[in-house]
Amino acid sequence: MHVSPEGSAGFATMNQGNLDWRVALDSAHWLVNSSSTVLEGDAPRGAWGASMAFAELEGSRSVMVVGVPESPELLAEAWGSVIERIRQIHLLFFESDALGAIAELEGIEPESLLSSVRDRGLVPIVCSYDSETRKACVEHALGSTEVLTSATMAPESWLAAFLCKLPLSGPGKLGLEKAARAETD
Amino acid sequence: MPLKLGPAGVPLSCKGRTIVEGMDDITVLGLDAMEVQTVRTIQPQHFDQYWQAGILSWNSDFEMNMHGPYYAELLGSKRERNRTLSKMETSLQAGKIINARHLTFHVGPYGECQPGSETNEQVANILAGVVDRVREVWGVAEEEEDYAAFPWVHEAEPSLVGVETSGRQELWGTVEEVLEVCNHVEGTVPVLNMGHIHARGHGRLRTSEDYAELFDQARETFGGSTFYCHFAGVEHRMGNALHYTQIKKSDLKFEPFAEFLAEEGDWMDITIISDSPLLEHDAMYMLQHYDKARQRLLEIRARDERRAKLAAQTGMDPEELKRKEEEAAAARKAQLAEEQGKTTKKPVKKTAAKGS
Repeated sequence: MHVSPEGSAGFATMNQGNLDWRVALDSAHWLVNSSSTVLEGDAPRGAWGASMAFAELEGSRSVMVVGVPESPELLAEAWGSVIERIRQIHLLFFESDALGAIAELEGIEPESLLSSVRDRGLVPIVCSYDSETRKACVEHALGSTEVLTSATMAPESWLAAFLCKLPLSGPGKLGLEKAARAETD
Repeated sequence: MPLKLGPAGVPLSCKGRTIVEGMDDITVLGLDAMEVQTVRTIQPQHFDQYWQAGILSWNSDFEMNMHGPYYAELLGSKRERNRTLSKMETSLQAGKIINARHLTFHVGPYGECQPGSETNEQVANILAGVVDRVREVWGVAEEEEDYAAFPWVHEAEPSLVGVETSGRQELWGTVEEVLEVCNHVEGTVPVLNMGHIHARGHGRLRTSEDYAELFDQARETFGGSTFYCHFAGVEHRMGNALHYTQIKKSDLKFEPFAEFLAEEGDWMDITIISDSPLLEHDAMYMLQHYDKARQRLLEIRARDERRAKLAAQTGMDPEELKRKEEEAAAARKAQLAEEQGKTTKKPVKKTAAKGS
């Protein structure tokens, strides 16, 4: 596993061949990646793609977090890379500031972005969470789910809780709603 | 039968991410086609690598193809249709540069339209316009000098416009709809996405006979022998595709398709693109199964020929000879099983003794 110090250039120049994805995944249920990783350099981009291919082979499910990169003009490139890999993604999470920007790129209304991406990309779950309104929106095979969380959460905290709850919250729409509430026990 | 196989995009295992690097890797794997994904607006910086890829494909047997926009709403409002057409225009311009043999397009949701011949006619009219535009873009006599380094622009046939079958009930694109439109619009070709057809048909593609039926339908309705197919595993429910999966994890198997192609596909000129999450891995898997199916067929044919020859020499009826050979084979099998049973019994006894 490659661990580079925070903010170091080492991440961009790492040797991605040193990563043993089978060992790293170790039967994990979820593999979480970010769309911005592809902008970090060739090696991170290669590792990013390889991780998803190995996740597919090893039976782990790929989660992709789509956010606006530090340089917003690179959003189109990052989103284009996500689209190229859309068939390998099981759960797509949009940070709320990325929703409008991606909708503009695709020329569709922000309100219908989640359902459109799910329908066209055949991604099983597409979701977002707005910290200000505490509203979680989840598009899935059984329709749409919108719930308010009882506490205000950071988007990444909501996603983490949602991912942890999802395999345990039971089947059907009710299970999804329960997971989306992301309530701590 | 000309069969070309390749992935939908740059191979996952390719260290570089450019199309030319992807083409090199695909060739090394023994594959010979690729579908470039221009699912989003094409960036100007992509055009350099498109030209390089075009030159490479023109100078080799490598087949380049292009997939059109990710979102298509050809049956939507005027605004939605124009937006889709403008994205398609970018794809067909890029298709010319890359020497694409097929440009694959979706039609999108039915929207306010009802499934039926009226809607199909509307789609046919729009696609006829797209075909005209492709022909306008390719081989403009005044531009011949500008494109001297890219001879295919004037010497090759323009790209065929592929109309893809859809995998969901609310999207235009049943097999019947696609074939009807392709039959009416010259310059189009049906894109048979097997995952979509299987999902929409509630799991209809299970045996080689199912594929034979599909291609018979295509031959009768469309009439052509050139086919462009997509293949991937698919999860589906209630006639809707839910998610693409690797082939091994799906109830859509490639073996029956390979069997059909090897046995009955002589009349076809077919390109199969793997759009599985394991792009080139599954393309290789398909190639292996196709080779196996052909090998099996050649063995069967060689055996039949040998039997006919032997029957003629001995003055026997070939059917009678076949029956005798089968009896002899069954006897050999039984004898072998008996011998194996004898040899495996001993260690069983030993373990039992150790256990006690």
